[in-house]
Amino acid sequence: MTSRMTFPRPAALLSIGLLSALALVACGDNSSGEVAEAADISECAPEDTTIEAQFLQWGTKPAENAKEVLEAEYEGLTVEINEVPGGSYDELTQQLVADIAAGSRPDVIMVGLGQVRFWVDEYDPQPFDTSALADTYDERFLEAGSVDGTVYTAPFQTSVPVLFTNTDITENAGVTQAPATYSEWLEAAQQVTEATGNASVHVPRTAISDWPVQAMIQNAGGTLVDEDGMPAFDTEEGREGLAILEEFGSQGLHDSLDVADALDAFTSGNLAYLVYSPQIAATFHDQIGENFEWTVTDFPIPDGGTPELPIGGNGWMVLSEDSCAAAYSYEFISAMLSTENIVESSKDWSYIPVDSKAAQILSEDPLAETPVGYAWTYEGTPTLWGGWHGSSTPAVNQILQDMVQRLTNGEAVDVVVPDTVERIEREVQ
Amino acid sequence: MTLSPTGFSPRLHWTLLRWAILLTAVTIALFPFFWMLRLSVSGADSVTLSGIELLPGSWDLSNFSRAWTEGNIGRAMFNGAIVTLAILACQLVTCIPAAYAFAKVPFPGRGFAFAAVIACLLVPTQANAMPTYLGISAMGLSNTLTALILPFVSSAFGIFLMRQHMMTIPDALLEAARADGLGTFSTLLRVVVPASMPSIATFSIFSIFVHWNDYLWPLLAIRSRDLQTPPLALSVFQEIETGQDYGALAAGALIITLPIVLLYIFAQRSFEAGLGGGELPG
Amino acid sequence: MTAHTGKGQGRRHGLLLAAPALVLIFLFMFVPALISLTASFFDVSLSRGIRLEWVGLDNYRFLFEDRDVLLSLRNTLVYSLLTIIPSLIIGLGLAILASSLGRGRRCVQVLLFLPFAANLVAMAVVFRWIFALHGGFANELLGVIGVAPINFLGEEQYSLLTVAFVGIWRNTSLALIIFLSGLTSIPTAIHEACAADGLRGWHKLTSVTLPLLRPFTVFVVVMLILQAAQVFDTIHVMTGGGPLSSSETVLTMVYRLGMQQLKFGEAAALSTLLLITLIAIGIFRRRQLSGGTS
Repeated sequence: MTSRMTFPRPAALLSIGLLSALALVACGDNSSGEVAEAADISECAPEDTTIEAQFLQWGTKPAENAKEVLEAEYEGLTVEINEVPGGSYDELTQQLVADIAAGSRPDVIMVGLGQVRFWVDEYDPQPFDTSALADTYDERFLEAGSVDGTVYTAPFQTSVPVLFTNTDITENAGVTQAPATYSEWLEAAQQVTEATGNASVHVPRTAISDWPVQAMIQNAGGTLVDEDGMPAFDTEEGREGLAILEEFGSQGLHDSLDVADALDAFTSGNLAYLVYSPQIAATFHDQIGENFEWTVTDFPIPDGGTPELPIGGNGWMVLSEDSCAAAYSYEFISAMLSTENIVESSKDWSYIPVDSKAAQILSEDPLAETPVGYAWTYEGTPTLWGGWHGSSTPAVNQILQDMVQRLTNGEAVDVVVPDTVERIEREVQ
Repeated sequence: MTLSPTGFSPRLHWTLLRWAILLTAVTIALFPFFWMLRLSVSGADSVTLSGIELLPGSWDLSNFSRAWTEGNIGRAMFNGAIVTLAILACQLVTCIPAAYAFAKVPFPGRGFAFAAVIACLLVPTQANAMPTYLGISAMGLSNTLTALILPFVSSAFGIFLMRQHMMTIPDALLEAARADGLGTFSTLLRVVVPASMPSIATFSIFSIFVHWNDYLWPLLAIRSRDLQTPPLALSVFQEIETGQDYGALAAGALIITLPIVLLYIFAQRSFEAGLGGGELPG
Repeated sequence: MTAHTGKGQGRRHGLLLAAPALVLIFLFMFVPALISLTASFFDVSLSRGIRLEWVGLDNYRFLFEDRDVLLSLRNTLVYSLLTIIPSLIIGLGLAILASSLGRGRRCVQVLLFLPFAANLVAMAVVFRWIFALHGGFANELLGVIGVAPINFLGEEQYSLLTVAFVGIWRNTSLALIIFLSGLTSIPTAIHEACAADGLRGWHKLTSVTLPLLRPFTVFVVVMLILQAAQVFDTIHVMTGGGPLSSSETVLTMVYRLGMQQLKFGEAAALSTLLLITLIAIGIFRRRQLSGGTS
């Protein structure tokens, strides 16, 4: 370097930088952050109001329909609907959190039902006004949108974990019935692997692992998370529920695959048993076509257990800071939850219908007899999904994925479970 | 120039060995491209069961039309072109004068400023992505093409690369320009820029490669499908819930790779000319 | 060394020429880095407005106590070594071979550079298929020679190696092209002088060619460090950092902490560490980087 000038006080420069950095950060902080109670809609002027809704692809059609209905009914009202790209509720949450931090807060958001508690703890929404729901809304689902007994979310597209079976493979291996209990499942998986030489079963090791894990723990009579938000599954029941994963792993019945690859393995006819959400049955129906026979059946339970399945899917939450926007938001949600929309979305994605009239219509559809119809005729009452406090849900879910990966690698339940619980405890404290 | 000992038979061996190594290298380098091409023309069933056959069992060119329409690839390429070219233009406008100043025009604090540029040289913009995103959002620019351009309007790498080359311009040339009555700015335009064309071309191609292919920043900054850049457009074919459409994904990958490969083949001579830049000692 | 265009005027001009770039680099490099640095001492919450709570060094303490973060630091180092050294050596070797070709040199050169020109996300997708456990080309090929399938992406001991392979595949072509232009720029007179002195083979390489290539080597190393430190696309697409964080690197970890787990303070601390390391390398190597013209 040619010129060796001493530059005036780098420290001064640094402090200017720090100040501007803080100023820039502070710029994002321009909202009150208080969620408003809904106003009486008759006192609101639609022409002054814009409401914005954000959701994943599953919400697009109902949102488009509802936008049309609302803008026709309230002249001058503007409804902005935005589909967030991506395929998971975690991605949706990331995007929404970043947007809200940057000062752009939607009025209506789609919420993964495993994250209701996160939104309630972090964003303090008003209780959901259930009078916005139709008389035909199936109230057995409201519990799953609640935190400590108060409803905050209207469940919209719901599901429970199920077992997909390629019955061509299993029948060739001499297994004639879908397994209902762990011992049947394990035996069937062994039989198939013996016949084919390949891994025969897949429980999601990535993405949605926490969901089947919760089902396995609860089916054995255990609890995933207690009222204080602490992990409560390092019990005899908890370990019993998860033990089958270790068996799958140690006996070479389970491949170490990403969940996307496992779905491919199933649709291409190379996997006998897959645990997933029934909502993908509609997609499978198109992809698999006539290539092989397959079924959707209840998630197998531990011998002597009782099914206690966590709900999956999503619901709608109102985050408006303005009371009139909140009032229109409820109208918007009500329109999205119409019987017609529920029927349409259940056909597109094979979710469990949350509207009893929609369920009635769907049960008469010819597809109700196929695997696609499993969700349409589901009669159980699902439980809450997740329930970790504060913002710990994504980190805890990552730890639960690690747990499934270690178990399906064949590590012992008695080592992995205590270790996992300890990691989660450190995370939620 | 070969490094081989002379003598007929060893030399022949050497030639064969050399070709064998180079052909192996070319095969490994090109195989993924070939595989992409093969998958993009495969029918649905021979995609998932791809296996080892070098040619697909069934052919299906509809992958390309699906990629084009469902992936909105045309729009994504248009966005990509706007963003890439806008970034390049801004970088050239800011970096060429700066490189010239660092190479030839001393100013107070130049040493310190250049040290700062060098310090940034190794800093990937990705490492700054989070705070940059918050800043961009705070300015109300998230989910706009501007957000994709703004953070990259200048480049420490560009300054570094072009300065290296400008250092080799003989001072006598600049003195002559001054004697002809040219000021600093006209010297830059009429003497320095033409003399630095190789490094400018090299940097330009680098910049185009990097920003056409950038993934992390658009992933953070862009939400609407209408604003997606080419790598983001591919994501529509690998969403878990709708099933992965291998054929269309491969076809889309091929479409977005093509322009950049063509650009390279077209411009490779000028690209290589400016690499390394600095004069060789001796 | 420098051409002065009149004393005071030239100095003002120099500043004027450099100012736009400097201001912008300051704005988009230093300001975000300073935000990171600042945020790394706070517990940052973005819900209900941005709230900052001073926590001192707690975020840094978290980094050094978290198994996955430590793993990501280790992985970044291993990935860097696994990619930089082989890319450098193979790149140089191929460059020497290619430069000794008469006919076909340009063709080989263009073909070998294609990996660097390609879209990394697209190529990562293709590599994901090639290394798939079931039906992936690599495993089918191993099957032909009777080797049991290897779970390249799904098992801890292979995942980092597999993504590093893609790193080498790509970076070798970058090293190669830079070395090639370096070799081309060596004057024929030097080769003739070597021949006259009977200098050839390994001797010529180490005592003449390599020293002459030094500026190019520095450039290659800078580019390779940059590529290694910012590896994100391949890992994000191929393994997502898994399984069990076995292929997580610093940048994917920053993304995971900050974007996925909403731990902004911790993410800021980690990216600050990365920045400080890279800036330190830049400063310590600044003499070589600025072309030894001090």
